[in-house]
Amino acid sequence: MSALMQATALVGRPVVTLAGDEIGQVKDVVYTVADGRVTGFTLAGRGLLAGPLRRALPWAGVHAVGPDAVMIRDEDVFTDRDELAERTELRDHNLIGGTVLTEGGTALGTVDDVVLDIGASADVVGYRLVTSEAIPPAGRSVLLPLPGKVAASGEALVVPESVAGLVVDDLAEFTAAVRSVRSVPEGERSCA
Amino acid sequence: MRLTEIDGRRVMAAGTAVTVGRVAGVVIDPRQGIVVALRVKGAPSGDTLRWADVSGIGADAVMVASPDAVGEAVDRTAEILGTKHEFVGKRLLTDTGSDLGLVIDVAFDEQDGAVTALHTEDGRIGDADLIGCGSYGVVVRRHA
Repeated sequence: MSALMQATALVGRPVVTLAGDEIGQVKDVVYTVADGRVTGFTLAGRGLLAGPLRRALPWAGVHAVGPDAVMIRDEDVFTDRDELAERTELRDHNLIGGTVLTEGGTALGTVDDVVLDIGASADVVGYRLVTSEAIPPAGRSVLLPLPGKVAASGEALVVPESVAGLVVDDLAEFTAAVRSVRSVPEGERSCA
Repeated sequence: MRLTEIDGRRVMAAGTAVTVGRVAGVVIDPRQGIVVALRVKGAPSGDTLRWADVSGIGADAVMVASPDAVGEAVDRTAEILGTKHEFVGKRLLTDTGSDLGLVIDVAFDEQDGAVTALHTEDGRIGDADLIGCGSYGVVVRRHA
């Protein structure tokens, strides 16, 4: 069973061991752009004003991502924050605010959030963006299904021309949209 | 039997017919889901009564054979007391990360001390196995 959620909804969620102890809260969702796979979470201490923690949570240490808490087996599952970042090219953090460009060079909007499909693994399946004039009316918040691999940097995300027509308004519509995007054979997709 | 019912109940030594103290809480092993001891206040010999030393729980008193049954916490009980072991007032969380509300009471079997249900503000959770009890909350795994 898996569930769609937005990365920002995970930020601040408490990280709790099965023994019931709170370790901290989710700070950032870390993933590799190449395959869209979530590799783990960086953590902040407990409480609103707590700072970042040295230790980070690799995805392998996650027991379950629930609506109220991220459950972990015990305190032995952590890795060093830098180690997690090294295995990962980019953090979602850096993508937020980046421009979404089509292969034809049209700016569709700016990245506002990342849509994750969380089950046994956690994958990036799309982005939330604030639209430009290319998707009228401009300034609208929409969800963009991710068509497999895309090229991304801290500056921009380059997507196929065709996805502009696939944007949806909410997570309910998103599931169907992702399915239709993924049903396009690999060869018919143009690669950036 | 519920925690709120046994709290404050008198602990009576059958051999001497003297009140030893009063129940001031239960000590639950969150991994096994059983009551391992009762906390007792007012007893000169200590503050812990092992569940195995309780000879009976009646409507008006918890019976022990001798006043010496109340002593200092040792072994697993002492270990549990060193953690955030209190259930009441904590969040009840499933192992899949859902918050079920605040624990307001614990029900347990009077014979073997097994925890049979957790009561929250919203109702009774009887279909779950205890896994842990820590600083953040009580964790249970619900039966499929």
